[in-house]
Amino acid sequence: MVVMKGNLRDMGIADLIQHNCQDRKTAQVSIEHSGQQAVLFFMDGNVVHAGLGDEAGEEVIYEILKWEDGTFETENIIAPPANSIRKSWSNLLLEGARRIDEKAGQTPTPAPPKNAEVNPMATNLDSILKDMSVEINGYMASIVSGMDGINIAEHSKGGKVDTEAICAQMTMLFKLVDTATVKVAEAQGQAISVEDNLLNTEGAYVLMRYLPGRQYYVGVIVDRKAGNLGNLRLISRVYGDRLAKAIPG
Amino acid sequence: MPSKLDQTHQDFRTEIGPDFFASMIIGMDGLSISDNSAIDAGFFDTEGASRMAMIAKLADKVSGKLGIGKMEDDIVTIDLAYLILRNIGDGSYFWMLAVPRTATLGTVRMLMKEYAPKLWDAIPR
Repeated sequence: MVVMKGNLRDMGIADLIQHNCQDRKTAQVSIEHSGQQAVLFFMDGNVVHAGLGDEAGEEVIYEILKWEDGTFETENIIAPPANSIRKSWSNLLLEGARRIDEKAGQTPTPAPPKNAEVNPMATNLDSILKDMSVEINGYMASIVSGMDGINIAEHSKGGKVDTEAICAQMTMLFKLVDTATVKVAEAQGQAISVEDNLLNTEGAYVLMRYLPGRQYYVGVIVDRKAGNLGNLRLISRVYGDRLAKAIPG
Repeated sequence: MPSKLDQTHQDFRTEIGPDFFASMIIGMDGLSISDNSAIDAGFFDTEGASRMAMIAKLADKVSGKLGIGKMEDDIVTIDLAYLILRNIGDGSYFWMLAVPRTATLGTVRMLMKEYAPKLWDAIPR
């Protein structure tokens, strides 16, 4: 039974993969693009099989990640018919993004490390933000800040962005979001915590995400035309752990 | 008989299916004009509405200050839910929706985009 239909312009392949994996769906997603039909199978939080014509496996994922238009249908299934993919979904998306960058002639996104959450190359905050910048599509700027609005690290594409102003505005909003939602929940006798806040505007996506420990957050601004919400949330989560580990004390 | 606004609200709930906690249309004065809820959640009472209005206003202001265009929506991720605030019409009202974390966010946003003009049309003016 078809449970969801949609257009790739509204929900891209990377988002489809992320959502089905994060929701741990056992599902089949059929995708149509310019007369080509691809099919993805999900189980236990991963994409386990992909097919496109006679091809199957990881290479199909890398190929279809380039598709920007087309339609998709999601169906719940009992079990996938085959198991042609061993790589985790996050590594598949990172490798796909790297190949797309490479083909476009941009500075290639570094190949995903074997353990995607720990890259021993960068240990200080600024260099981690720099590493993160090449993995986020449409990246404009990022900061790491305490809730006092003073940034402890910053990075911007071309260095032309006023990161201090961005930091001040982001902190003001994130603090209000946190205080307002927590207070409302407390008034009802509930305890909740805010994980992140994503502001979407005509021109940009602005993500504020608490780092583990919740004393600091990472803020990222992405160009709306070139950016991708799924990619932004995924990469900021992966790098959030690295940033937290690199904060002294 | 439900008002056109309440009926449009209900139509949205029907379309979104089980991925629905609650929804409310709130004026920028912090007062709710329509709500539809599947749960008993504090976000959707008078205090919740006014606090969320503060967030919607500030988010709009921050977008302007950063020069990144008008706010389209703001998504707050909390433990078990996404809270989505979306401006509707000329910006004098916004729509607050709560969905479970298991909801497919892309689909929810797509449906909100589709229903925002319908809700705006249904608001008596």
